[in-house]
Amino acid sequence: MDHQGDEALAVRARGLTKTYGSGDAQVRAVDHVDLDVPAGVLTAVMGPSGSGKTTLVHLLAGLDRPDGGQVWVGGDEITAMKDRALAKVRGRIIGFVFQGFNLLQTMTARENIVLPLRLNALAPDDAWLDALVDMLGIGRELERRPYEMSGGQQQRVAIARALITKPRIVLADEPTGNLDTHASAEILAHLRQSCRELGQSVVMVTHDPTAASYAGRVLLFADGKVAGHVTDPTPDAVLAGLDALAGVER
Amino acid sequence: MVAGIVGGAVMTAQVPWHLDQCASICAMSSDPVSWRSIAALVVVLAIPAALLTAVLVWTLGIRPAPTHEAAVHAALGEAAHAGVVRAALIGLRDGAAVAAAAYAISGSLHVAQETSHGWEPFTTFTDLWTTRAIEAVLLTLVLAAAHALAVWRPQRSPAARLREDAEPLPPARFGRGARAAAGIGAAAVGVIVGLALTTDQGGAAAVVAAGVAYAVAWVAAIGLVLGAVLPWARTLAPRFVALAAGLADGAGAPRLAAVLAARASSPTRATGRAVMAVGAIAFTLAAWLVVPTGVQQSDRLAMTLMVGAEAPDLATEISAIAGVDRVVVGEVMGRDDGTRPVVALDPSDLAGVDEDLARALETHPDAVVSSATSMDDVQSDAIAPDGIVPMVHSSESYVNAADVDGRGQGAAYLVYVEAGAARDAISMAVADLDVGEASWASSSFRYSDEPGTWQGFMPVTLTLALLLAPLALGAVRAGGRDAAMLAALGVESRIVRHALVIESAVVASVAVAAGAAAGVGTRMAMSGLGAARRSLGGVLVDSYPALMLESVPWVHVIAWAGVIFSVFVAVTAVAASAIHLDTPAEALRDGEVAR
Repeated sequence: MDHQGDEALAVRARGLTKTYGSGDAQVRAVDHVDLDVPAGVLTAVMGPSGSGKTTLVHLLAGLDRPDGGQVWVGGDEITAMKDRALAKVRGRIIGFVFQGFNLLQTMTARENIVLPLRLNALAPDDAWLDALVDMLGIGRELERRPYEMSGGQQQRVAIARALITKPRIVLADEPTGNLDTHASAEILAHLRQSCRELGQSVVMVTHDPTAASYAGRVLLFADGKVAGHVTDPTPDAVLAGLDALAGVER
Repeated sequence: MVAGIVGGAVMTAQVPWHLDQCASICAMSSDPVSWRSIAALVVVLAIPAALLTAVLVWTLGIRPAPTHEAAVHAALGEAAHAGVVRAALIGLRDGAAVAAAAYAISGSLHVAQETSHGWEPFTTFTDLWTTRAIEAVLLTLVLAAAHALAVWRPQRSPAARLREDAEPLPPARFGRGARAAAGIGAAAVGVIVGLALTTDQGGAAAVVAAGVAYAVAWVAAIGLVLGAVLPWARTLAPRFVALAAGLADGAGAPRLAAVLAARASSPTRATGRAVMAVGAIAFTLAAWLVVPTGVQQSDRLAMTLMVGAEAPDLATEISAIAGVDRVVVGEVMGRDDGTRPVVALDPSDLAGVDEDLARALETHPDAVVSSATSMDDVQSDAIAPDGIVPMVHSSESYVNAADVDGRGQGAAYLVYVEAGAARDAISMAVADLDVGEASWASSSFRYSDEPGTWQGFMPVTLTLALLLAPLALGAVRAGGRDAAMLAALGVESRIVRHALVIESAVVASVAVAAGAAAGVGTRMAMSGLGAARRSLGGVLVDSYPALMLESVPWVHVIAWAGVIFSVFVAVTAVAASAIHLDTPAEALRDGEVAR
């Protein structure tokens, strides 16, 4: 299958499969998933706990190797890439926000944010750093270390770190899970604006129907499979989709 | 594991490996074990046991359970004393297990050694079974105490304990304990130097006081190294990692430089523990390795034959034996009055075969050349030396014949052989000669290697590997999460692995350099102090600086430092290659489990 020139898609997956454990303890976290993530769109992934959402975004970001299937980022198949090329994709094309933040504990917030620039030999962009700091409201935390910050503050730093390289694709695992409503709204609005104006593509795992409502498209995920979509989502529509997944009558 | 290895190594070292050399004395019955002998052994072992406890708690950071698990227990309301008791019981259980294993292994080796040399089991060195049992009990108590101390000491809140491994290292301070060790050490040095300067040949009280001060100085030196020198090196290591980052940048490897710079800014407690432990091992080896300073007899001296009276033509007969190079005849002094036999020699007779001894006798014509440390052991009616020139590896004492006033008690024949001669055959040939009654011979031997240097190279290397492997693995494991994070941020796994190994090499270099330097310094200082202490017994010192420099086997120290460094870096390289950096998500999951 040739996906060169399929520029309308940021990420494409076919037959994506990932299994953990063996024997009776075997769990198929992602089960033959076919997925198209359109470019310039904020896509939310929703589903029950343990449905395989985090594994899915790890596979889409090239942070984990699937047991089967393929993933293309832009026109390049990352599942066939060697380490060097894959590292380049992770460092320059994709920005990732981890659920557990994964900040380096003895680096300051500023050092954590600019770390991807140093690691990928990219020129520092002070104006962009200032813009991110203003947007995320972490000006006073810049010289603090992660263990000196709250969970919400760490999450903002993790978001800034993912965005500092201006990646074409942002994959975020519960990026607003530790933020208050106001901060969440501000960040989600920014992500949506980036998608619209800069053509950035965002895939976001979330449990929050309100957060999902900022997306252009919501992917419903259950038992390692894509169980449905919600287009032009509202909180109610998302909730209805989730209820339908769970078989709940409203 | 570390305690088990240490205990096993100590017990295994006591296995009579030399059964083929000790003939019938192997099975000589020893004094029955008494409570007094047990108490004496416990007192002797108390210091190493205390040191092992300190190393386990403060250097290796022993924990009865993972930090977060203890924190959860505390957060759920477990009282502090209950945690200490639980930890002590865990220590007792683990200690009993490892001590029993060490006892069984060393005992099996003992029996195997006996049977392989034709002895019945349990018939040689029977007192070692009790000795090892006492060591096993002490080892168990050490682990119990270490576990209890580890829980009792920090007194941190649950939240603090949860993040303690992630916190940056505190800056090195010359703390109260280090100041106390320095003060006590200085006082001990002052006692020894003061006694040496003010007392020509001290009485019993002065000798005892100097001996106590010497032991105190050792403990203070160890405390100072563990409490100040190695912690300082621990905080210094990240600067050298940053320097390596700068060098990598200058060498055109910006990504490697960036990773190293990130690692340099993240000196975790796990890294700090590695510095402390590697440094402590290097210190121990460097301080332990020692070249005995003193006159060394020629390695061509095969035996010394002493007879009640000089036998005519005996020297000629011995010289005629194939392989004998020269026979030097001396006069035996002082044997009848209970003192050690002292052989009076003409230094000129030794020219060409035993230059070191000849030079000592010429340089100190009024002194005895001996391994004795007290004048009481060498002076007699026949000789009244003004001091003792220290000698190593010899059971005989020598004096310049020109210094002898009284009549001798017999004749001594020093048999020097040609290089490569068959010594056993020569000894048997000498034994066949008619040397008359009242004769005795001692097989003179000289160690082919200095003790404590190359002897046991492989066992020590294996022990080092067993000690260092968990440290290196722990350091990589603790940094594995950050390494995975760096890979997730776009660094090639190859570069992350290189950075881990380079960081490990830099950290190990700093630790080994600091530990070995401290060990060498301690060894030199203690050699000087030891000589000063022995001077109270009449032992002469020509030059303290020269003695201190000569007491260090420099080549061996450097070689062992290289071994420590190599083992640590090799284990790190293996551990780094095992991290799933090509799948950072997996490594991060492992990190979650490891935290």
